[in-house]
Amino acid sequence: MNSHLLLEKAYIYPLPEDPTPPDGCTFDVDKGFWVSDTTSQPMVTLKYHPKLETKKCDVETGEDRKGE
Amino acid sequence: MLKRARIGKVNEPEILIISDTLDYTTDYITVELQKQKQNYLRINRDKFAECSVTFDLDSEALFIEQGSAEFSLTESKLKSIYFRAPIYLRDIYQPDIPEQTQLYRTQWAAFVRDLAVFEAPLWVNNPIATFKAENKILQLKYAKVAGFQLPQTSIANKCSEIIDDDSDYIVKSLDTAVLRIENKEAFVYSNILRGNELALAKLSIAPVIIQNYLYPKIDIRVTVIGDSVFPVKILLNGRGVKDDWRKIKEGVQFIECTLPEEISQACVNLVRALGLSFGAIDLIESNDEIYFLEINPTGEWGWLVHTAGIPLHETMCNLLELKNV
Repeated sequence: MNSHLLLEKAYIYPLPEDPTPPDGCTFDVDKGFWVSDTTSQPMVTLKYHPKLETKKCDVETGEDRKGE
Repeated sequence: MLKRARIGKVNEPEILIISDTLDYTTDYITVELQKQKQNYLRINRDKFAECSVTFDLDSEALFIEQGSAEFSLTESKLKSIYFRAPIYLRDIYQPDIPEQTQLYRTQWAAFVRDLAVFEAPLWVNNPIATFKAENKILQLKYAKVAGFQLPQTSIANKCSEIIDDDSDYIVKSLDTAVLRIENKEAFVYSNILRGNELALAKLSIAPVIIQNYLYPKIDIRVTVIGDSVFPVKILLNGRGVKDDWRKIKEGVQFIECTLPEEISQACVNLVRALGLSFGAIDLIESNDEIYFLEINPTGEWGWLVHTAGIPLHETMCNLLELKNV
């Protein structure tokens, strides 16, 4: 081993792209949440919406975007 | 006091949420607060440039113009502040961040941290407390005092003499490690190593956490909100996950469970002792014993609403409204 153990064991992946706003939804500044463009319902109450599938939102930066 | 031109009715929110527009977990909170007709304001760190923000030191009031609305936030009106922002900016050194972005991020990060000037409201969590609680050695010490069992642990940049060649160990970073390697990104998970492999490992340039590997094990994630405790077991095909479960992207189940009363109380005690009102605690169950691994003061919980079916946002809103939780 030539480098530090944690470097040897690190999980390497392509540079993540910047997150993009959800399709078909608009952020309502007054309400403070995303709403559907078609139904005006809050995005998080829709059956299909961007979810946090793992505790890291599938972004390998630790919790709560600590690594940003 | 600064003279301010009134552009309409000034709102005086009771709940302030500091977030980011793409932080969907916050939507669970704001949707619930709106349903309950609470007086709240969400400000987004990625949209500060579109707002007009002034903190007036004489009146100790924060004035925000956002869209067509004007807000005045004062210690006497604010019940609570939900701080969903990182304490550390870990990638600001990267060469491809434009100077405007570097300036934006460092200075706004300082500004929102500085809202700790509001000392009377309940913070979830106060960034100063989070800064303290993010320290792994310190949290292990506090966890021990709170009554938790810990795996045998050392933090070192050399392999301890007590390492046994034929035993397994967990080796992990002392702090979140997001790195740039050959124009790619890298993340350091927990690693299982045999003692003889660990004995040969190079560690001198950075300290690591070395713990006895406890197996069989079941990971337990405990979300503490005020005095309420929500534990879930993390399983794969009905069994505990041998490795770091975060490496597995599909098929992991999060099953609501119960904890012995003394463990639940230890979770609450630890959160309180660290000056927090929220904490996401990682435990493991092994051979009928429960061990503490770490506490995440900025831990994520939104994923548990739809995977484990636990309405954590409702309890979080109750906490922000200063109801007993």
